Amino acid sequence: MTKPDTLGVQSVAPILVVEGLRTFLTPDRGGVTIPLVERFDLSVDPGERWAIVGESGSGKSIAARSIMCLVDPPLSSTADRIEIGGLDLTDASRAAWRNVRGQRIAMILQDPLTALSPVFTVGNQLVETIRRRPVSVHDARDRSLDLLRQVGIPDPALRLNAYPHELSGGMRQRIAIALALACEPQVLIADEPTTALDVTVQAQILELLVTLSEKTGTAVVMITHDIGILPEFAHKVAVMYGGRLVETGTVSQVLNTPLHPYTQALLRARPGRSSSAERRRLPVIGGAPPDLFRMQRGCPFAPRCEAALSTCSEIKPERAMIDGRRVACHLVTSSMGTAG
Amino acid sequence: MIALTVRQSAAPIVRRIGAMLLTLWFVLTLTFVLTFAIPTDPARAVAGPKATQEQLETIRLSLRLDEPMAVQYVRYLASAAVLDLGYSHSQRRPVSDILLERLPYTALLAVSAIMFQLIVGGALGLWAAVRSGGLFDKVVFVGALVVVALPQFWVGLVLLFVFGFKLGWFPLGGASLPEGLVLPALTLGLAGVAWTSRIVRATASEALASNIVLGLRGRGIAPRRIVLKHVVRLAAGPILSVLALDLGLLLGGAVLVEAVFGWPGMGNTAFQALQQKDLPLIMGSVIVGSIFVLVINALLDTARVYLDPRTR
Amino acid sequence: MPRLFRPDIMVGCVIVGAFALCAVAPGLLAPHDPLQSLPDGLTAAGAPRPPGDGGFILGTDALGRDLLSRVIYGARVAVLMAVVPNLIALMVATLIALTAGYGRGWLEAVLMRMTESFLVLPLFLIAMAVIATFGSSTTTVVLTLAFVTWSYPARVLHGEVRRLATSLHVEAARSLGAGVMRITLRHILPHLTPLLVVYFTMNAAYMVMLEAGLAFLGFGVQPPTPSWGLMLADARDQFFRPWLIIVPGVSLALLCIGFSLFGNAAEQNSPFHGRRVML
Repeated sequence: MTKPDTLGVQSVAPILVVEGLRTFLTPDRGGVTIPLVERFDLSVDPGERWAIVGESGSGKSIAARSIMCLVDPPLSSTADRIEIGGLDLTDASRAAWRNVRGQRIAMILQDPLTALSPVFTVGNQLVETIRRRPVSVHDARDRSLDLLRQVGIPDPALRLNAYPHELSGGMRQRIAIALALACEPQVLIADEPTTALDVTVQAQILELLVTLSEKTGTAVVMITHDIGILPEFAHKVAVMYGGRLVETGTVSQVLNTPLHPYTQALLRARPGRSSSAERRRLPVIGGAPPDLFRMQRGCPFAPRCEAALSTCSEIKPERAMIDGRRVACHLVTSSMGTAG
Repeated sequence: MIALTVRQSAAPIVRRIGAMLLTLWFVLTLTFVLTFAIPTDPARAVAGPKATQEQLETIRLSLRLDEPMAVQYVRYLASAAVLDLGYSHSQRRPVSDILLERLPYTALLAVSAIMFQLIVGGALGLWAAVRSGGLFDKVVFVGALVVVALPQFWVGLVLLFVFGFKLGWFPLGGASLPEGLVLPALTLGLAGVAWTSRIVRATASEALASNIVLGLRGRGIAPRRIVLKHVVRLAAGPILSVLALDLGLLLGGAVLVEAVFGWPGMGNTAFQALQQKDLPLIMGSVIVGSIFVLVINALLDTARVYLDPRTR
Repeated sequence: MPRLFRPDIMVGCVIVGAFALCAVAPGLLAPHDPLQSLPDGLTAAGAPRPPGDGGFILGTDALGRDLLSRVIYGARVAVLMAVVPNLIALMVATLIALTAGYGRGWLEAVLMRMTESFLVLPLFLIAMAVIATFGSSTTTVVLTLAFVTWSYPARVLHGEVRRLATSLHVEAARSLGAGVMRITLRHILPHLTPLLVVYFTMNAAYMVMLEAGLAFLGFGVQPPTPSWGLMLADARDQFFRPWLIIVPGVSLALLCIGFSLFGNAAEQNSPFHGRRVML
């Protein structure tokens, strides 16, 4: 598997560009709007695989849905720029978005149990999605068999007439992937696709996603809280905390030389990663994830950061470009002496 | 593949029919017991108040009222099995003939009312869910609340007054088709529209907020298809369940509606039979009514299992 | 506990309260005797007066009796029917549900079969038949209404009792040696109470309508007791005097609406907390 180590020269235009995405919550009874995601930027090259990492409440799932403009009241999202496959969707209408979803960008949800409709057969749901393009029913059936084979489901003809609740979790997730890929999208957003599955099945699904991505050239943006899968799966990673991106870069960069204190703490906290001297207690990150409804000024991680400076609780750090990657941390920028 | 499914569905059907027969047996037994609880002398009812003692005795013998209860019971069950429901003295015809004649009218009324409530109630509930929290939603909510509290026979009277009397659009009763069917069906189905819209609104809202619809939206499926194909199917199961439970009440309402509009169905027949104290006809109506409910129940259940595989 | 002071619930309380007042102290509120044909109750031609005519707020009926007073006195029957048969039906239903749900075995099977048979029967017809045979005194009507409606809550309550009887905390209590009575009273009944309250309010409106329907066909409380159903029966062909149809009907409808709104405390699914999905 080819994994570029550095950003390299960009000769091809990125397939997905997100700039300045922000999502906020407007309470029903009036009051202050609460930002849930702020200053989210993403640039994905064709065929590239990204991982967006964060804990629960970091805003990663909301960011994923916002990229596809799938947020409902009381949430709303806007962006300075969203481009998919060269198509500008920044101020696109709902109809335009409906057109784009499925065909250029698709989504896999977290829980396969609730994501497939229990009242229609697998075949019915597949054919329905395939026939968004003018395709005959017969051809659609053939293609759905093909898709099921691609996602590694044995005996696809039998499964077409089955109902989702008759199948295992792993198979349902595979079908969900098949549905997402049915109209050959250029980008696939996967929201924690393995969290609800057994450990053994998790590995299989991840492998499937990698294989499919390589074969079809589909870019994948995977939302996850599990750093462990990064080396096997992703080219690049973005770390989120408190609704903001704190560090982005290639996987080897971020994993080997993490710059942001949060990333460092995350990596330290993995079981089995500490040196034998520290093996007594797991170095967990003290404190609790931030309450997005009561955000303080300054860096969201400051209350839990061991190396926090006085500025950290006053001013929100901007993302700076260092070594070809971005970090949002006063400590890092001040020690580097530059803001890029 | 087909053989497999046939065999799989055979066992539940057999069990289903068995349960129905059991319930029917209970119903027959209940009605039999009720006839004995009634203080009226059946012989006197047949003969009239001026009959002599000898005449009463003769009638009693012909009705076999002297036999022990157990024998009468068996005889009762046996004749019910061949659909011999006795002889109506108020109409001088076999009960089964009368009911067979009247059943289609009630069935037509009931089915029309059900169609009306499913279509209109369903549409209202769907739209209220799609525009959740909006004005339409609130209006439908309050409207449903008000409508379900209106007494059916009063609604019938009012509709008759407004559309029959004042506007003259519809006849003031009788059985002309299709004009004579409209107002009674509307009256019977109106309460149904109210609760159907509420249940549909509830299930549809839940469905719209669910991961299923999120996935559909994520694939860019058109809103019309999402609502009319997926959300409707998801709401079908609960609606059919409640409809089956409501059948008994619906038939009860049919009696009143038939009385108000003079619709010649089983309800009217039973009403007249009560006034004439025609016991066999009354009991026959009860039994046929129960069978009707059981059959429709079974149909609804089959439809529900087909539409909503979760219940298998 | 949902907020109890929602506008719809409050309106329901007011309506029910007003009618309850009429039922309890009609003499204080009614301007005339409901049974008396008043001297100026009819017009010169001998016809009933429409509302507002001659000082009669709601008009008079064919016998010259004041409609307003009849409505107020009619509330007695209505409220009585909303409460008493309701309670009886619920008590019977609870008893059967407890016996069947906790007893299990053949007892449960028999009781549930019986309940389901009742649900299949045309209960309105049976109610008419029972009243036709046993007479239409108030007591008979009350008992008949209870007899005909107990099976609906019994079904649901049975399911609930069954669920509770097999729950962990009942099992724990049993392992500690608690007897049947104690378990029933302390562990099962308290959980049934919310359901019972909901059913009571739901059934109240239904009982009123049922009795009115029976009275309309002649199977309810008999004249001269003022009852809204009877008033509607009298007014049946009075298309030229629509107020005779409208007044009792609106009273019935109002009371039922009041009960429905009042029972809305359990209603979670209202447009007052909806979430719009932008398809």
